[in-house]
Amino acid sequence: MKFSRLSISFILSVLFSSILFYACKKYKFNEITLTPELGIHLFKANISASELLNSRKDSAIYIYEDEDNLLHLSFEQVIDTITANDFFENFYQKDTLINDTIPLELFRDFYEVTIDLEAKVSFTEELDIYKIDSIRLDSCVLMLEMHTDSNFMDSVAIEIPSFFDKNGDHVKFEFSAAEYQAKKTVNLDNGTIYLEPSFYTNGLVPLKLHLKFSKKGDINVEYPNIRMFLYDLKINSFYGRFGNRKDTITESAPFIDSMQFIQNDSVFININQPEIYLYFKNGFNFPFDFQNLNIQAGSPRHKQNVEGLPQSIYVSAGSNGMLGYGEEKLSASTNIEEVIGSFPDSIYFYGETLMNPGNREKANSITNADSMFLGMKGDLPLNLKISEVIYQRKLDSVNMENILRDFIEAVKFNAEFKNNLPVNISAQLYFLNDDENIITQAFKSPLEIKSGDPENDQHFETELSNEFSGQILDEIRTSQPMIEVKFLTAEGDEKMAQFLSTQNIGFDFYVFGKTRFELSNE
Amino acid sequence: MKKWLTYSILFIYLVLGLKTNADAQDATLIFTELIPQNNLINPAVNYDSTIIVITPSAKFLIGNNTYGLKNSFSWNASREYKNWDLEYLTENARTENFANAVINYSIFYIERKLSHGFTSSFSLNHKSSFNFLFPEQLFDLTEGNANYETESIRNYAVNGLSFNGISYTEYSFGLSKILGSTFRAGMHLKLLNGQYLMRTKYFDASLYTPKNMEEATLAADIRYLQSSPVINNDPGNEYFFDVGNYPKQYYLFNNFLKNMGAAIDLGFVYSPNPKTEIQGAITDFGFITWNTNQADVTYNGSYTFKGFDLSPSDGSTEDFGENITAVADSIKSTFSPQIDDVSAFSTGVNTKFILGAKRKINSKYSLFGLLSMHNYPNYRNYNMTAGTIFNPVNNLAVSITTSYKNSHLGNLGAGMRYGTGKFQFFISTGNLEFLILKSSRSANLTFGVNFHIY
Repeated sequence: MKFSRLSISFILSVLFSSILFYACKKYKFNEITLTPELGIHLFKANISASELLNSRKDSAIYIYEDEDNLLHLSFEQVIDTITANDFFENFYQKDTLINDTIPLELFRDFYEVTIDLEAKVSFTEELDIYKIDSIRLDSCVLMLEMHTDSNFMDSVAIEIPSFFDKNGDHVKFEFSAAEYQAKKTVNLDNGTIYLEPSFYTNGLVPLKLHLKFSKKGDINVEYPNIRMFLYDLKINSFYGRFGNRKDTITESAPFIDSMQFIQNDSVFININQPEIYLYFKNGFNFPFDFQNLNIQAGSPRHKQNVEGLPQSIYVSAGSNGMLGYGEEKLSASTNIEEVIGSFPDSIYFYGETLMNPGNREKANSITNADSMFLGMKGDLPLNLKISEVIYQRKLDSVNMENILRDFIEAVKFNAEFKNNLPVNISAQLYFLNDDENIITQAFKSPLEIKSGDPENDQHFETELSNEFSGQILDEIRTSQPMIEVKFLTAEGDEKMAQFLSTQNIGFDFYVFGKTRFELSNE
Repeated sequence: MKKWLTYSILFIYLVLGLKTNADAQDATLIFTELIPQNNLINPAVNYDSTIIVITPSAKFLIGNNTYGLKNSFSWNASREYKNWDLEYLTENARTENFANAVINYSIFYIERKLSHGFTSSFSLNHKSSFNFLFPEQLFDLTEGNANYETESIRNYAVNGLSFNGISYTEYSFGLSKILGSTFRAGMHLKLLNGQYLMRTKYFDASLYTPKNMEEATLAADIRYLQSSPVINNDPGNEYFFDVGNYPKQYYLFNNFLKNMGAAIDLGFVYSPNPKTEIQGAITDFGFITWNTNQADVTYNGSYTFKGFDLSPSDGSTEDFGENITAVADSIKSTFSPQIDDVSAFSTGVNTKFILGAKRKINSKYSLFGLLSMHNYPNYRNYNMTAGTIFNPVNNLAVSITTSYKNSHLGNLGAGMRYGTGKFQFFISTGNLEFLILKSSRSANLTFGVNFHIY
């Protein structure tokens, strides 16, 4: 009986537990789905005219305001760099400067001869050593190659009085009887070679030779000689009298590379009273005169002359690490705005340089570290007219999945603008798929924001956008946004648009969203 | 007449002024004469003999004053289970809503009969109670600050929300005495050992968005006291919630002579004639002094979001991920709790009050009624129960009850006690309709077995 009561109690307990377990199994108490609807001022900005224009954080281009609050774009850009290489190009391009032979056939008929004599070898024909007195070397190798016969040669000693090693000693070679077919080299690192100008050749190197020969049998070498090579040259500096030396500089360099987001082929720009200068900064220790300047801009296929260039620019000498300087202003008739408006990707510079003009006999030096910078700088008052500019930029840094999180089920938005910039703005935000095709656009129609003036803001509020939800929202999540902005100064208005420091554009972006949060503490 | 006036004043005082607790299940336990369980409710009731009873029994209760428990869940077809139906909860919220849960269990009961009509007892019990009070705006908040269809703004203030929880073990020493042939009085002196406390002092939170949506301001001013290793802060003051720490304070050997308190139960049984019995009791009238992991926690801050400022002079970046993270960090920083160590503090435990009567109709049927009140720290819950007991055979008692509780009439209860002598099984619920009605606001069950080992 006791067992029976215990069993019944046990059975009832198990039965109750089972019912309780089954009843709870289909419930999730620790989960809840929230679907709040949100209205948020998502982002805003207030951008002054100077901030808007000075988007490049580059000290070479900056905006400043004058006493009338008119903004000026000031820029300074190096177009090209001229180095010693541009003047002594053939020295730097050639690896071997001397490759010459001293013939010894003259002595093969003597039974015995001892003689001191002087000889000269010449530099290679391509070199222009006009008025170069000496060259200081960073490194160089001088090699002599003896090509005689053991039945002929006793000894040969050669001294080159114009070549000095790093210790300032003359370069000397000695060949013994056994070295009748030998090569010997001397390292001229940090040495100096002196050049002897010659009317008929590019320059000569004098040599002193002490020869001792005696015939001991048949001589097999048909043309005994000594060959001389100067190679592996790295020049540190040139010394000479370079006054009135004239060179032609032809260079090209990338010019406007920051217009990649502009869709126009060209833009008409008319700036009121631009001041643009060409300038040189001179690291050489003597002055220059630049003449017959010609600058073109564009592409290799289509170049456009920049007009209004100065006739010549005198550039003072640099000294003690201070750069010499010279500048000249482009004339008022310059077409530089038109040239820049065509967004040339390259600039081509041609000019003649006159070194140390009018000072022919003064000793000068040029080192391989010397350079000179050709640049353009200007002050552009932002008092201008501009035709329509179409700016398109994919917003690579914007990850739409970070904005349209998974919990957002639907969104619609609008934007408000306050504008007193003197330009009309039309803007749209597109969403592109992987093939860069437009999936959809953020606003039903482009935002048309009219130009204002400092006393009269132009307010513009968009309609509420289309609702984005479901599949299109999923596509936007994985899309790449692209902004397109068109702006131009007031059309048909002859008055120039003045950008003032007091102008700005502000915008506020509001979003309404349906969200869904699956909250769980699991 | 004078006596009834005194009783009435006492009744009103107890109902309105004290913290009391009881429900329809208690009525069944009391009037079906389940003595160890009844003794927990009314110390005047005992075996009047020397006895040792192992009482593996438990009481589960959840209830609220607003929602049908099953209505609160809806079928989630995609996941094939039911979870919270927020739309129902929002639409049906009252101005003030409360919910409570109780988990109590008992282990054993010892009684010794003394001379001169005295009886002493000892029992070991554990009690946990959690209650939640929230205004209807809590669910409004979940709708968000805007109406998507009308593009209009909603504003909210959630004030007066509170969450309170307490868990403790009681070592109950009882003494009762027969006072004449019709009256019996009893009391428990209880030593309490607290394990967990959370006591909300105040809660004010708001979300304000002006019509022009220029900004949205989230503000909170919340304070609560706690004694728990569950909510903690590390040396870097980073707030975290670690349930795994709970056992550190749960077991006696981790908590010896800490969080100690005391309580008293008083009760009586009055039987003016063999067919009539009147019972009344106040239980758990006491306090616990919390001196373990005690802290005063405040959240006081305001955060206004005015939109990401993309102005060049501002620090925002174009990377929205970074910006959102920065805002989240700011909100987290603004609303980080300040957890201050405080000296030991005392709180009351959840006292309950009952007053009931039973009238035997014949040898098989009895009628009974019970008034009870449970006064939680943030609200009072009044219950009234009426029922009948049917004794078809000596070993079996079956009860049917109906009650008013959780501001709701029509709670249908049932209970059963089977067995006498050394074994008893019992099961009781105050809300039998819960099994079939979605609108039932409570679910509860008391069940157990009594083994008389001496």
